[in-house]
Amino acid sequence: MKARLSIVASIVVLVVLAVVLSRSPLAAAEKYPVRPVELVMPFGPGGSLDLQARALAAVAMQHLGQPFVITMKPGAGGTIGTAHVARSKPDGYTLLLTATGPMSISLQLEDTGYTKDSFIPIALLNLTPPVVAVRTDRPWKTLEDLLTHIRANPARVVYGTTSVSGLTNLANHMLLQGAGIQASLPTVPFKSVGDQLLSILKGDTEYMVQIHSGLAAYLRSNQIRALAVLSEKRFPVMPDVPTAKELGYDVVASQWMGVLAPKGTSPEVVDTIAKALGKMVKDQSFVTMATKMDIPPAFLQPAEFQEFLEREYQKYGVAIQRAGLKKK
Amino acid sequence: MDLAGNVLAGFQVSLQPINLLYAFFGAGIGTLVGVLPGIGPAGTIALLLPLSLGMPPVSAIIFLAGVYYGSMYGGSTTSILVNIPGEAASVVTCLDGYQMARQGRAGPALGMAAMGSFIGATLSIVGLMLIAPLLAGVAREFGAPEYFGLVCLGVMMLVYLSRGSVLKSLISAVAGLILSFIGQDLFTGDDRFTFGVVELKDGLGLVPLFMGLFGITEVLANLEAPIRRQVYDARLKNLFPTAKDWLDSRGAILRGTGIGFFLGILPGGSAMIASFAAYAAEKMFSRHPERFGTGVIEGVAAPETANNAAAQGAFIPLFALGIPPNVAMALLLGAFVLHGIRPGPLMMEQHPQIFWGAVTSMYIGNAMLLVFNLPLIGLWVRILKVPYKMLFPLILLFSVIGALSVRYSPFDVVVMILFGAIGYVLRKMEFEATPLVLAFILGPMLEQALRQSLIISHGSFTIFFTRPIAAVCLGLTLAIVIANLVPLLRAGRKVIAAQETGD
Repeated sequence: MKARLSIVASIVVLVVLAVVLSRSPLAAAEKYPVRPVELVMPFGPGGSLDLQARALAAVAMQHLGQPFVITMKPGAGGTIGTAHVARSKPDGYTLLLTATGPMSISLQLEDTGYTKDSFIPIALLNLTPPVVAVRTDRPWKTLEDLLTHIRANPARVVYGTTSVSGLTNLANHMLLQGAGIQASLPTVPFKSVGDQLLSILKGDTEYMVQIHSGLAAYLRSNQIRALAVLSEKRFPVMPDVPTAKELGYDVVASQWMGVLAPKGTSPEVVDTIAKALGKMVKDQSFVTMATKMDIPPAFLQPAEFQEFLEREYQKYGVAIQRAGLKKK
Repeated sequence: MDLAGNVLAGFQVSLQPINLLYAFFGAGIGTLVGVLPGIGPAGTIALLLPLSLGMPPVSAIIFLAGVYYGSMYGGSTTSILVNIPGEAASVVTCLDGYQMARQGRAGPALGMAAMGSFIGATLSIVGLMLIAPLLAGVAREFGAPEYFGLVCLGVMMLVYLSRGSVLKSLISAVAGLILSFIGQDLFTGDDRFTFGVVELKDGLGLVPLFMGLFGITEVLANLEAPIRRQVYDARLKNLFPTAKDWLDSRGAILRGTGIGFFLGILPGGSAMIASFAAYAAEKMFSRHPERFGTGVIEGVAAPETANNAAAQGAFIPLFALGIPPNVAMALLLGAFVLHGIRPGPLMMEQHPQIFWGAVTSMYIGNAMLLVFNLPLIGLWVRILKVPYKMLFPLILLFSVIGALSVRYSPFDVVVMILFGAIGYVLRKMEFEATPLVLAFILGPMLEQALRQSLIISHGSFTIFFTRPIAAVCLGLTLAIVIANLVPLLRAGRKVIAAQETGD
């Protein structure tokens, strides 16, 4: 009995030690990085950002010389984890893997405890566009068909979204404004892309705007049809689908993912990580995983990423104003 | 005709030594995770995901699926022994399981939980194989109005869950509802009752809430009378269910399988809801509903069978539609994706060896679980002999680790301790915590489904009567209300019951 108890006790001690050690690694830095780098991922498990983080972690060791340790800090649309990194020590050992929502949208809607200047951009890793989609057996074959249907039935066309103040809903607002449709549509919010898709397939909602990677399997099995993609140029994964821009509606949005560091991180460290990330996204095993996720890698250097972020911030700022989602 | 060939081909995959080993490790890790409160299957699958990247796709799925259904076995252990649910799906097992342990019948309770789990799971796998393609259609029929009907029915059954006064359990349920309002409104994005606390934006966490209400409260309550434990130490000899236990449980196991399987298939339905529903159903069917909560074996068999049946059923929407019904399944979907396979209508055609290999491995995994869970009962029961002064600090430590592990937030630990104190006060005043937790879970689902339905229908309530599934659920709800409220009917029922027993 005593022996068993001491086993239990020693397991507990080991667990506690492991937690403590992983939290406060041994100090002192010579040439960055000398110890594992914590990559904070501010969303829940199983999402595309989580998978991206794990794919990065799989190739980090060989290109950075140290592993990425992924810390999941979900909550409040990614703003809790993002704020956590904004407050972290800018020593290069706590980095943020984040996306459009927390960095370009949420901070314009509410007090998140950080601003766009709380971070130094390191690298953009990918860009995936939203897609306007309907169930395949619906009569609308083109974006124009759908918009005509919406104009003909003002405030009657039911639309489903996953977040009323999120990227895809803003993109929908931008699209409707571009088409000169003023009436707001009955909008059904769902907790997940799965629920949103089910309601499209069941016919309760008529159309959706969602990031391509979440819909890829359904587009491939021809259960839903993409009417337009909201990117600058056609999306290589589905070259047959026209952009809204070429159809005459200048709406461009994207779900991007990128790595940032807290303000004050030294330029040398930023450079080291940017170079390593550049190699990681070209690593064959990373490319294979990213392609399987339907998120083709892209890459922007720190300076380009900084400019990109600035433009994104302005763009969604305007969209938020026009959509009447006022800043608090 | 094709089925036999497919099953055979599946076993050829799952019986390969390497896959047997993965099934064994997956199920074993799952059991361990199930036993430890707070550490859930979802978090574990997330941790093991990178490890699975190095395996062949079939092995990875076999391994991770094993963690999920394995955890359903372990969850009951702590519920029965120390009144702390190891998993959300084992909350309701505490009610009768722990009482059985107090009466010195921890062995039969654990044994029945394991056997019920095995029967529920294996029958559910047969269902999975036979009707995965067909039932995918049923899951698809469930839109917002159907959920509204279903949840209404569930809330009404809540009344049957309570042991004490109906008024007090209603008060408790309303408190749970109010607590569930906290957080960001899905429909407007506005914060409700967060008082500017960022951690409250996503609402109170379910794990810290129920670990506080059940775990911490239990420790506090037991500190009052530490001697009671000695009483049942002496009578731990009978480790297996008796013939009478089997007789009492057979209906519970069969109904639990059906309820669990059906609720598992529904997107949004979960092993937890299945366990509550099965317990409530058993109480309704029982000839002695008043004895539920005092340590009847059906109260253990029903929820434990149902949560395992639901765990297997939950694979159906994932495999057949590519839609994960819960977080653990969402992670499994992630694992599929990382291996370049998209679960969904096309998977069974394009990757038959993966679908059939995974499904047949569940048979094997469940058989393994039964074989190594039964001998473990003796070991678990001996935990009861650990003196309280050792056990309590350990329970508290695991509770803190568990609350912390959900999102690494110390805030959740504070929430847990707070609800531990609240739970203690509630218990002193003879309020039940179960209706509170159930309302906390079901309340938001009810609100969402109602609001979604009304947006879809442009504000018309007729949607609840024109959609058949919703109408039937709401009709049944109404029937339960009437049956409970009209004393005439109740009196009539008693007469019938008396006649039956008289015959």
